[in-house]
Amino acid sequence: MKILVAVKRVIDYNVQIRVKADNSGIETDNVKMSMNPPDENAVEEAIKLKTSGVVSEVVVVSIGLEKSQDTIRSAMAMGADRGILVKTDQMLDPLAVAKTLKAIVEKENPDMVLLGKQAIDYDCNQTGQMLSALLDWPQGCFVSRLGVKDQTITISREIDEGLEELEIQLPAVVTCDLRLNEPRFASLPNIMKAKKKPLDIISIDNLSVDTNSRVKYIKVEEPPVRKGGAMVADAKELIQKLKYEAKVI
Amino acid sequence: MLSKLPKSSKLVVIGGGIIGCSTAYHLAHMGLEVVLLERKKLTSGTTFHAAGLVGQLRTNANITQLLGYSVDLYNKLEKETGLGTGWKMNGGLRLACNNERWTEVQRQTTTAHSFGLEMDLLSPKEAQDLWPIMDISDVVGAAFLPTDGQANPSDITQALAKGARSKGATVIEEVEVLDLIKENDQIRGLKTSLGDITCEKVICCAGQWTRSFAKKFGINVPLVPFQHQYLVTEIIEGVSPNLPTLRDPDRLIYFKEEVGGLVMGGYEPNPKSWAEEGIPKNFHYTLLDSDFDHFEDLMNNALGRVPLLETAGVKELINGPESFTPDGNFILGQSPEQKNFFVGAGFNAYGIAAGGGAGMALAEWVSNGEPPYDLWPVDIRRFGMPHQETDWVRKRTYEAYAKHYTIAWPFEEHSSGRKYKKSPIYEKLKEKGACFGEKLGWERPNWFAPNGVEAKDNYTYGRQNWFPIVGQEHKAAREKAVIIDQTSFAKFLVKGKDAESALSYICANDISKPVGSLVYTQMLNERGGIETDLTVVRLDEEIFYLVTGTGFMTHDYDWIKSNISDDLDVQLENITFEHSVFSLMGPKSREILQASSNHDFDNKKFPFATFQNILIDNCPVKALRITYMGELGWELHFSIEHAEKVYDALLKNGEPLGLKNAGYRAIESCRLEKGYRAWSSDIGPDHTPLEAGLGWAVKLKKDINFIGKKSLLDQQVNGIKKIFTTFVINDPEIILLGRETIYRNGKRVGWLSSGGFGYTINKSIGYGYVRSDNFIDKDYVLEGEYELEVATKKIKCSAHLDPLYDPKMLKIKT
Repeated sequence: MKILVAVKRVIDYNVQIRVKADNSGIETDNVKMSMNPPDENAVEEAIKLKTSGVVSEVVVVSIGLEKSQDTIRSAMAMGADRGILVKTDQMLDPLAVAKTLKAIVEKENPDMVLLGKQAIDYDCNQTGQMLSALLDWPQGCFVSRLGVKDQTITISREIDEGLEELEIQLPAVVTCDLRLNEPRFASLPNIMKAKKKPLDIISIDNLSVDTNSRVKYIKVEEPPVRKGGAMVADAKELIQKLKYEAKVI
Repeated sequence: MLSKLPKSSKLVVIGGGIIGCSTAYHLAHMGLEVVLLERKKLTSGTTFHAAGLVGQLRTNANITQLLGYSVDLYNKLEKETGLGTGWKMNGGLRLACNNERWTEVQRQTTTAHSFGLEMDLLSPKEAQDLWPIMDISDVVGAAFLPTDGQANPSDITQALAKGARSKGATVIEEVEVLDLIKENDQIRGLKTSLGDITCEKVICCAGQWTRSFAKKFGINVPLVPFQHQYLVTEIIEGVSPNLPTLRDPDRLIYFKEEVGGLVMGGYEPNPKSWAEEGIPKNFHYTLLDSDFDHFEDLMNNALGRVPLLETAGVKELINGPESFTPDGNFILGQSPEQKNFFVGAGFNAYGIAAGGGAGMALAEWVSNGEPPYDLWPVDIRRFGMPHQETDWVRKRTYEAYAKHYTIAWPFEEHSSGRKYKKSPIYEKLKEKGACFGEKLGWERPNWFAPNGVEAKDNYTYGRQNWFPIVGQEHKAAREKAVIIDQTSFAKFLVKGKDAESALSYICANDISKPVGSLVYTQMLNERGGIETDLTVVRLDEEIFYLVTGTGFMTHDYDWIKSNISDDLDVQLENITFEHSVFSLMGPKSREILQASSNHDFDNKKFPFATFQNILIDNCPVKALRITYMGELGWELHFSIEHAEKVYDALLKNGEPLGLKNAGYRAIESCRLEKGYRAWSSDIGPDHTPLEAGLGWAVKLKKDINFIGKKSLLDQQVNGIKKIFTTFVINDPEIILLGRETIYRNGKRVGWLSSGGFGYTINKSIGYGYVRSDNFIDKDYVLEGEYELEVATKKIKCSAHLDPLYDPKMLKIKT
C-alpha cells in the first residue's frame, strides 16, 4: 500500500504574525517557517502505518516555493521515503491546491491521501474535501483515529456532536486532527539522512492545472489592538457598563 | 504593560534585554533616577532566544572579574526579587582533543588561577564521570570550572527588571525611541512614540539595533548581526539536571542541559551574517528559519561526542540572530563622539554571562564618569578608522565568529580586513621580506624573512618559526642598528595660547620645558591611575606634538579632549594619518644619521630627550632622541610624502654599517629587557605611576597641580599595595605569554601582564604586579622567593625591580 501525504510550509506557530506595510498580505521574509502542525500528524500517521507493515511507501508532496523543500525534508527526516515539490511562486487557492494534488495522485496512484485538516496560516479547511470531490474518492475529515484493514479503513472523526465512527473504502482522502497522534521529533542521523532521500521537483506549469484564483485578496489588516481592561467595583457597575458602554446586553 | 511616559528622568536606558535591565537594576540600586524604554516587550529582541550559558574565564583579569560579578549577582537575585531565574551553578567542563589544545587548556587553567578562579585539570575518565553520556575516545584532557553555570535568560531579565522597579526605576514597554533631543551638542532628552522625555544621559543597550540607531547621531558602534543556531532535544536518559555545561572547542560545539534534554549549539567556521540591508521592522520575538544544512557539520560533530543523539528527537533548531563584534568583545562606555551617550551592546552570544557585571560596570560608568576598574578590552574607545566601515566590521566579525572555538594562538594575527591602511613604504618593506601584522587597520612589519624564508607565521604553543629570526633583528638593534617603520603611531598636535597650561594640568610629568625638549609622561585619572602613556614634544612655544600607541588613538584623543576645559585657548588636532615615523635604533644609529644629514648629531649637541628639525635628502624631518628599545636612537617623524626618500637614504647609508630592517616583535623583546612598560597590559587606569615604578616621571615635587596629584600624594604617604616587578626564568625553554600566575613564598600574589623572551639575556621575561592586602615596599618584593605557574606547572624565577639590560642608561645617553 502506498500513501501520499500533503504538507504545507507555513509561518511557525510561535511567530507573531505581521502584516506587510502595504496591507497586501502577511510578512514572510525573515520569519521562521515550519511544517503546518496538522500535516505533521498526517506524516506521523503514515510513518506509523509503514512501521506496522501495512504501508510500503510514504510519499510526501508539497506545493510552493523552492524553500518548501525544507518542509519535505522535515517529513523525510521523520521517516517518509521520498518527496515531490510542485514548484510555484503563486499563492494558490484551496481549489488550485486540490487540483494540483489530483494531478500528483494521478501520477503516483496512492491508496490513500493524508492531509492536515487545515493549515494554520489561512485556516481554509477545504483542500482535503475538494480533493476528494475532484478524485471522486470517499473522504474522512478531522480524523482522530485511523485503522487499516485490507482495502478498508476505520476512522473516528471529531464532529460537533461527538465522535463519528466510519468505515471507508480505499482509495480515500483522510484529513488529520491534532489528536490523531503525537508527531515524533526527528533524530540527528535521520535529519542528515533525509538530505539524501529522493526529492523530485516539478514545475506547476508542467501539470496543466488551472491555478487561476477565484478569490481576490483586497486587503490584509492587523486585528484591532486590544484595549486595556478596567476594574469595576461591583456587579451593578458591571451591568451598567455592559448595557450602556459595551451595549452587549 | 502600558505606562505613561514620565516628563523627565536623569537617566534613560534604551532597550529591555538583559543588558538594559541589568544596567537599570544597578542604576536604581545606586539610588539614581532611571527610566527604561523598551520598544516592544522585555527580552523580545535577542535575550528571549539566548542559550543562557554563564562561563567566566576570559583572557583579561578585569573582564573575568566582571563575569564573576554576574555569578555573584545571579546567586542572590532569585532570593532578592522572588522571581525564578533558572540559575544553577552546575560548573563548566572544557575538553581538549589534541596536544596543542591541551596546552591551551592548561594555560587557560593557569589564567583562571591567576584571576582567582578555581579550575582543575581532569583526565578524560574524570571528565566522563562528570558528563557520563559523552564519548571520550578522542579526549586528551579536560578542565573543570566549578563556579560556572547556566540561567534562563528571559527569567533572569524579568528578575532584574523587577529588582530595578523595586528600587524606583520605571520600566516602560511598547515605546519606540525616535530621536535624540540635543541643544548645543548636549543631550537634553529623547523623542519617543509616547512623547518627549528630558534627560541628562542616555544609555543605549539596544543590542543588534544599536549600530544603526547610534549612527543617526554620528556615534560609531561597530557590531553586526550574525545568525546563531542551537538545537534542543527531547528528554535523553542519563541527562541529569546537574550536568555541567560542556564546551568542546575542537568540535566547535557546546552543550547544556535543558528539561532533561540537551541544548547543543556552536560556531560554524562559515557563519552567516544577517540583515545586511538593515533589520526588518517589527522584528521582535522573531526567529529565523532553521538552517539544518548550515548546521550539519556541527550536528555530525555532536553525534561523535554524544552517541545517544543517534536516537534522541530534535525538538527544534533555534536560529536567532544576535550582535557580534570584530574582536569578540562587547562594547561598553561613553561614546567618544557624543558626551553623555553611553553604550552597552555587542555581546557576541555571551550577554547572559556578561549581563550582570556589564550592567554594574556601565551603571558605575554612567554615574561616576569612569568604569569601576580598567575595562579596556571592552571600552568603546578601543576602535579606530576601519571600525567606521560596516563592510570591514562585517568581514572582521565573520573571522572572529568563525574562530570563536578555534585555538587562540599566541601572536595570532587576523586574516580578514587586511591592508586597510598601509604605510607609504609598505611595498618596499614587503620586498624586503616583511611579515606584517595588523593594528587598528594598519599593516605593520612584525619581522623580516631572510632570503629563502617565507614571510608567514606558523602558529604553535611552542616556539614559533620566526623566533630565531627576530633574535637576529634583536641582535642587530643591540650591536649595530635597525630601522622600524612605526608610521602607525597615533600623533596629535596641541596648539594655542593655553596649550602649556592645559597639558601641565593633564600630564603627570613636567612638560613646561623649553622648546626642543621631549618628555615621557603619563596622564592620570583622579585616582592616580594611568589613562595614557605618551611622549610630549615641545615644537614651539604654543605647539606640542604628542605621540602615543597605535591602538590608543581614539582613547587618548578622547581623554585629552575631554580633559581640556572649554574656556581655554587650545586646539587638539589628530595628525596620525599625515605623519610617518621611522625608528632608527642601535649603537650605529648616530653614524647612520650623520651620513644621511648635514646636521650635527653629537651627544652634546643633540642630547637624549630632545628634538631637532633636520633634513634627510632634503626632506624636513623631526628627529626625536628617544627609545623604546633601550639603545641610542632616534624616532624620525615627517610628512608621509617623504617616506620613500627618507627610507632609501637611511638604508643606503646604513646598510654598509650593518643596518637591518626590524619589526614589532624585536621591539617587544628589547623593551622587555629594558623594563619599558606597555599601556593596556603593564600599566593602565588601575595602576598608579608609584605602583608601576614610574614615580620618576611624575612632577610630585613641583608646585604644579595636575589630575591625580592628590591621590598620588596620599599614596606617597600611605604606601602602595602592589609593585611592578620583572621576573626572569633561567630555563630558556619555558615560554611566557602573559597571564601566568605569580607566587611569592608559595602564595598567589598576582599574574603576568606581559611575557616574552629577551634574546640578549637569553631568558624568558615576565612583567607583573606583586600584590598584597597590606602596604608593601621594594624590600618586600626583593625578599620573596618566587615561582611562576606556567600551564599549571610551577617554575622557579627571580624578581627584579631594575631593568635587566643597561640599568644605568649608558647606551641611551651616550
